[in-house]
Amino acid sequence: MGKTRVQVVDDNEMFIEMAKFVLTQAGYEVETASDAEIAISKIPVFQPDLILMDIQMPVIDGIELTKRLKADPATQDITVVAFTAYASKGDALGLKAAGFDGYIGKPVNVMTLAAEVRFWLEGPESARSSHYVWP
Amino acid sequence: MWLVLTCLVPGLVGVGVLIERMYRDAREQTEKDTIRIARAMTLAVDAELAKAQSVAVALATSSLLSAADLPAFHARAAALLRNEDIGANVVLSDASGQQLLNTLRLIGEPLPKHGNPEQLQRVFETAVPAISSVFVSGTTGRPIISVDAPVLSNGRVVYVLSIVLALQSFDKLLRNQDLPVDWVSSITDRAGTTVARSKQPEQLVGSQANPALLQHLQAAREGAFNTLTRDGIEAVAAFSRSAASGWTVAIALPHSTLWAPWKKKLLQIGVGMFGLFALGCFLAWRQGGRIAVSVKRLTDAALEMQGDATPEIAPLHFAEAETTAQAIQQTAQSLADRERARVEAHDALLASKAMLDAALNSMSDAVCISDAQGRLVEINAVFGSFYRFTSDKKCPTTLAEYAAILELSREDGNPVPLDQWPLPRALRGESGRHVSFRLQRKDTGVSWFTRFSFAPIRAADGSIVGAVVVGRDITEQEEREQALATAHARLGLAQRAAGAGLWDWDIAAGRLLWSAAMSQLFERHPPETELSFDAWLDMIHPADRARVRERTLSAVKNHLPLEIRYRIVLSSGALRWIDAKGDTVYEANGCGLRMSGICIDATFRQRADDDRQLALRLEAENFQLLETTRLKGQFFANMSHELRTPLGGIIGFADLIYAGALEADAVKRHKFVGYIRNSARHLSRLIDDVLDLAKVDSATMEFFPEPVELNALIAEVREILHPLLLEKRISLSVVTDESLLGLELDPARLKQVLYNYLSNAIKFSGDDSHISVRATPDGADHFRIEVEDVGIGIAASDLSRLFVDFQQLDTGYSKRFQGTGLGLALTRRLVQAQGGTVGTRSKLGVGSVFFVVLKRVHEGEARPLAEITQPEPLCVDGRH
Repeated sequence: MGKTRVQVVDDNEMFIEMAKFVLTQAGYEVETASDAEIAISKIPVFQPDLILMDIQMPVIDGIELTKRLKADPATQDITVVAFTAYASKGDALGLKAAGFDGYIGKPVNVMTLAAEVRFWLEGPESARSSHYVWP
Repeated sequence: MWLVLTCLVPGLVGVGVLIERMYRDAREQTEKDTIRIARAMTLAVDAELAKAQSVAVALATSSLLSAADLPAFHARAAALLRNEDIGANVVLSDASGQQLLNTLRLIGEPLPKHGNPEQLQRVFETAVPAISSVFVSGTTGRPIISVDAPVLSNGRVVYVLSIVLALQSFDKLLRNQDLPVDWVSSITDRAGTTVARSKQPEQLVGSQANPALLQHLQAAREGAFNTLTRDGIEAVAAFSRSAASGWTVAIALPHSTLWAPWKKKLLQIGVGMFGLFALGCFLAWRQGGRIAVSVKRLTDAALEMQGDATPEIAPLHFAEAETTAQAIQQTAQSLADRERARVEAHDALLASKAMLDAALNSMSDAVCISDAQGRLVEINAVFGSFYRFTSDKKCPTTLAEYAAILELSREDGNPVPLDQWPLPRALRGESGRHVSFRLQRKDTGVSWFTRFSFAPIRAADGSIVGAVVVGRDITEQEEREQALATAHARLGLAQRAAGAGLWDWDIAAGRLLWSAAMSQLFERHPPETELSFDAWLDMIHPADRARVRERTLSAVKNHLPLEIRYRIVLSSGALRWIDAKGDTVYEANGCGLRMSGICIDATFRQRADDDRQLALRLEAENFQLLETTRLKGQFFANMSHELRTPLGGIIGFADLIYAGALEADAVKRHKFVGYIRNSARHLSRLIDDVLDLAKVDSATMEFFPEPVELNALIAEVREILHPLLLEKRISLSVVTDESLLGLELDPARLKQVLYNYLSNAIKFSGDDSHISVRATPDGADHFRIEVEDVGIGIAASDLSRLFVDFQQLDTGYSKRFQGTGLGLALTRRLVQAQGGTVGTRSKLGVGSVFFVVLKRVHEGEARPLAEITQPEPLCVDGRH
């Protein structure tokens, strides 16, 4: 239980693979979910510290799922970071209203992904310590 | 007796007049005689005066006087006076009026002045003798007359000699005339003083004469007049004045004297008259009795004539009565005849009166008949109710009474004066028919509309003896007519307002009857009222003519109302839209007899319709435009996601490999490179689609037709999609009709269409399902390819959104079926650009069929942009 747990929720298989690889390399314990239903079933078991949440997903989208998580006392303390290409200011306000703690823009930069996760987990000072997972 | 008096009165009057005349004549004669006497007496007076004057002149020229021997002259003069019996004395006076000698005094005695100095002075100045009027003597104090003559010496008046005449000398002159005692005679001098008078001389001599006399003297020298004398006697006075001396003699005859002989004559006549009267009365009484008996008998006989019997008449006393009796008997006979005729006529009259009454009472109009004075003598049953009386008995009979309760006014509302009412007009000989009035009862205020006819009734001689007035209550009729007029006016107004023309088509004759408005509508100059069916067709725009003819004929044939809009060509060349409506009247056998209807100018309506359609189209276009804009915005959002996703994969994995993160794990590295490769290809396809779409939109797409072998082409597409089919374990069957040979079109575009249809079918099909592709001919020139799946199907409400640019049925972040949203839109454009059509039929939960119809041989030309960009109606239905 020593590792910080990050759950990646995205319907794009290629991105899940990429994010899992990067965050695992950075020392996080990573769980994935390719849609909201799978995420709902896995989150109580995995109990992540942070969720990287894709917005555009079939059936239940990321916004709806986040609202549910933030409404549930068991999951409301989990940091939820949106993972979205809709990165305008209006979008950001909408995301904040839905309960997101932060967001990371798409397309993802694999070089900074781990640092951004750490930033949202540990605060601004953590970013200075390590921007890069890899040399 | 009265008869007798009547006989006598004219006689009496005649006698009276005669006597009056005789009296008048006698009196005139008396007056003339008296004037003549007066004239004679005047002459006597003149003679007396002339005598005195001649003596005076003689004395004045006496030699004794010129010798100034006064005592001798005194003696001589006194002697002369005595001898000549003239005058009282002689006086000699000087220029100062001092008497020098007076025969009444002795010589040497003191003498007074002359009593009449004015005359004395005149004689001194003129040297002419003069006779004075009466004056009072200075010597004796008694009234006298002096006759003065000048005494000349050497041609100069030195003295005046006067002979004094006492007034008694004139009394003597009057007495000498022997006039009747009751007559009054008088002498008046030139100054109007009475010199002598036959009665009461003591009181009246020396005073002014009767004023009436003096008045008459101013007017005439002689005359006669009625007067009251100064001693109070009614008299006729005659007078005469001397031209020489100016003295007047007047003689008054008392009336009593004049009447005396006539009184006697009148008395005699009166007695005679009374005698005659008495005799007449007696004779009249005797003869009158006989006449009365006869007259009574005749009267009785006449009174008996009432019946038709001839009366018997008792014997009569004189011939005239007998004649009268015969006349009465004849008259009785004719009267009896006449009575019989009268009774018969009366019976006939009663009969005709009954008929008249029946006729009058059966009339619905109010009838009254008046006499010449305007009094109603006959009214019929309706009359009372016509004038709104509660009962017939209360109907007044005089015009004045009607004027009190009725008011007539004309149609324009102006009241009609009483003399213009029908009855007075008829009584003046006018007659009128259907003269309209509004009647109003002044007491109740009820009013009603009437129409009067009236005429005078004339007797045989043409005089007006009455009038007939017939009144008709037209209130209802008036109201109906007004309603009708209003309706007509409204119809006319509506026609005018609508510009409507009326027409009637005699179908068998092929003739049209037109109202005036039709000619205006069709701008026919001169206006046409009748024209042939073909002439009408010729006016119609050539493009509409056949349709109008066919529709019109079919309306008749199929018993339908005609309702059609067409254009006509006006003489100016302008077009006008006409809306025509008509209905057919049929014969019993069902053949169309005539069709009637209206035409109205529909140009504005058509224009409005056009405008409305244009507005609708613009609105639709605008909506489309807005929708397109919205969809494009959504498209770009989608595109950024769709493009970034593969790009993100490519960049991300490339970064990892480049950073050497995978050096140790070759398996994973190969897998990541595979991701890069697939993402790049997907990206490439996306870019191709977008570019194609842009090309079609900007009409720069080019087609390169070439002979196509359909089966081979389908196989190529199937090969591309093989991995997907395998993944979902979907079986694909392809059936192509063998007759589909010689196709010529751009194979790349056809492959694109098939790829889109098939990839969609795979995308929306479940695992282990089936897709079939069928190619069949569609007519001689076209062929059809259908792609059928048994997938999720499409809701009917969503069908219309297929094939629309950038449209994805499944919107929002939860899209399960990824895609650009361009596939079907691009397909439609590609097909339509080649002159083909696309379509679908689908059922939710059952599956869909997408089809394309294309020309077998495409020449390569692209259809204009405008025709392509509009979504054409799709063959969309729910069949499957």
